[in-house]
Amino acid sequence: MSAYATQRHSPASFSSPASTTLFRRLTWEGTVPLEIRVDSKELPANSNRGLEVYFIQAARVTYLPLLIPEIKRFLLDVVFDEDAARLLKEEDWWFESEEGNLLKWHWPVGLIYDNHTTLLSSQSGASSSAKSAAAVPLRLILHLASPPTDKLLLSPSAESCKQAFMGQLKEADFIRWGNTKRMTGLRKQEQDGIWEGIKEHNFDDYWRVASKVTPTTTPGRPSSPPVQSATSTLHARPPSADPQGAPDRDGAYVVRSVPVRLYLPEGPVIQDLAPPLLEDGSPNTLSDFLSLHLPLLFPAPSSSTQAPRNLAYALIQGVLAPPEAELAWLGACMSGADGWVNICIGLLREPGGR
Amino acid sequence: MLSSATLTRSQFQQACKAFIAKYSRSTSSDFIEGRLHGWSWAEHPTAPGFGFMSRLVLLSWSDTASEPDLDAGEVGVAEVTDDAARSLPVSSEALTCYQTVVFSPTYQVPAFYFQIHDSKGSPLALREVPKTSLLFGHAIPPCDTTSFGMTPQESTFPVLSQGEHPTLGTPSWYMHPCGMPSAMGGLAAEMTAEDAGGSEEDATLRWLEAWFMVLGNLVDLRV
Repeated sequence: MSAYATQRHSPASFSSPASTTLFRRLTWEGTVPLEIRVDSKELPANSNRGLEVYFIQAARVTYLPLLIPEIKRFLLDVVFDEDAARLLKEEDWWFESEEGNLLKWHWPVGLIYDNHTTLLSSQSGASSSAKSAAAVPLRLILHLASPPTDKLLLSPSAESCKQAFMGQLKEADFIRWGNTKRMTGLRKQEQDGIWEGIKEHNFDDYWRVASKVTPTTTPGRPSSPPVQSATSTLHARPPSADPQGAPDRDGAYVVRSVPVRLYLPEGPVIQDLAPPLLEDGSPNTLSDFLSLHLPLLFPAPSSSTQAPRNLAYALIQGVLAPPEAELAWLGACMSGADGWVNICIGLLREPGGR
Repeated sequence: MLSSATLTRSQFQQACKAFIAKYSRSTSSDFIEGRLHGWSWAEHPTAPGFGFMSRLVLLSWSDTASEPDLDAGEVGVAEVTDDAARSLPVSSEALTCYQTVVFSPTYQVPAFYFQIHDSKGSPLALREVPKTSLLFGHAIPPCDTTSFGMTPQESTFPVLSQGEHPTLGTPSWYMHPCGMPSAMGGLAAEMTAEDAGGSEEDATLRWLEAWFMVLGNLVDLRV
């Protein structure tokens, strides 16, 4: 983290299409280890108890209901006998973490994993920090019956998951542009295609459609300042007035707001408008955004004091995100497949731990 | 003045509190006011600014079947209509509907979330929701209904679907607020002219009353 803080990249260095594609590919290929075991009290009679644990390296962009066919195949092949298999009803299956936290089937698996990591950071006695937990499998308990209908959305299925996913994409579209024309303008075939990309984990299929709704990072952003110029000339110049080339109307820095949600270990999910540029025309950074919404955890720097010590850290796609990351760039390159930048906030244990 | 098609979170909070103050003590059975009783404000236990309005309403099974293809036996009353339905004991089963009006941070308008439970405490599945007295069947276009959402046949996105309650995180049904900003834009512009000279609190209150009027086209708000 300290290396990031001292070595500031030139803002334009990330804006070439190749680096955009690279980060999108890295985000897409991210995986998390899961260790899944059936609740021992619910194992049907005659189950093979020695082998009831299943490990998956799951894509961050997938969803629990999409993993169920694979888990079911394993259970039928190895654990359950035929009588038990006949009684299985996957629509009643639900997951909780080993610590007893219910897992939401309509959240991307990567968000579930990161949220669990940061949740542990807030619980006393938990020894794991973000770093040491990084490669540890998330231990899931699979229950075969009686989902808690007061806490989890009903009727998990691949079809429900698709509808939840499309709804998130549409909300992200509205957040960015103030309307949902890009999403509603997709043909049925394209809407089905983007979901097939998730189900089959096919980067090209997904991005063939996603590129029509996701902001671009090229050509150079309207605000990118020449390094040597005086600060006074950079300020208060609206993007549309930029004389150097026509502003890209699909550009990451001209959206109304970046789709961002903050997940605290406890408490509601915080969602507020996150404009790509601040009022003075400079890019809105992760640090700006966090100190605006969580000033106690991320104190705003002031001129009179040294850089204040953050009491928390931000995980995006499992990565400890540098404070100077620009929201617009995060929105174009590090958002989940559903279009949202999910920021999980964990608490730092040791003082000075950043 | 408030001419906006949308509200900020703090305007939403201000409007709700004024709304509750105006209607909570009223016992009028007036056609309009009779629909606006019973709301109270709930804060989030730890996060200020995430409060919402809620109320509990008793519903019944609707006595007219709104869909031709209702599954016989699933609800008991589904396959019969009109007079026959009223004589069935199951149609008098009381359903509990927990309604909330909560700020949608995406669309920047209030959103109507609800859950319905039967007399045994089980949550209703989406296919059962149109069979209750909550929604005006005639106001809702023909829909393709899955277990997750009701989508008008000519549309690609649902009008009613499942979702996490924005403050509570609990499973709920909600009317999609995406059409609200445009519906409210026209109304708000007209209200502005009438409102000239009033306080912002009055303006946000009138904004919320107009929102309830729009919602009332789809949802039976009678207590």
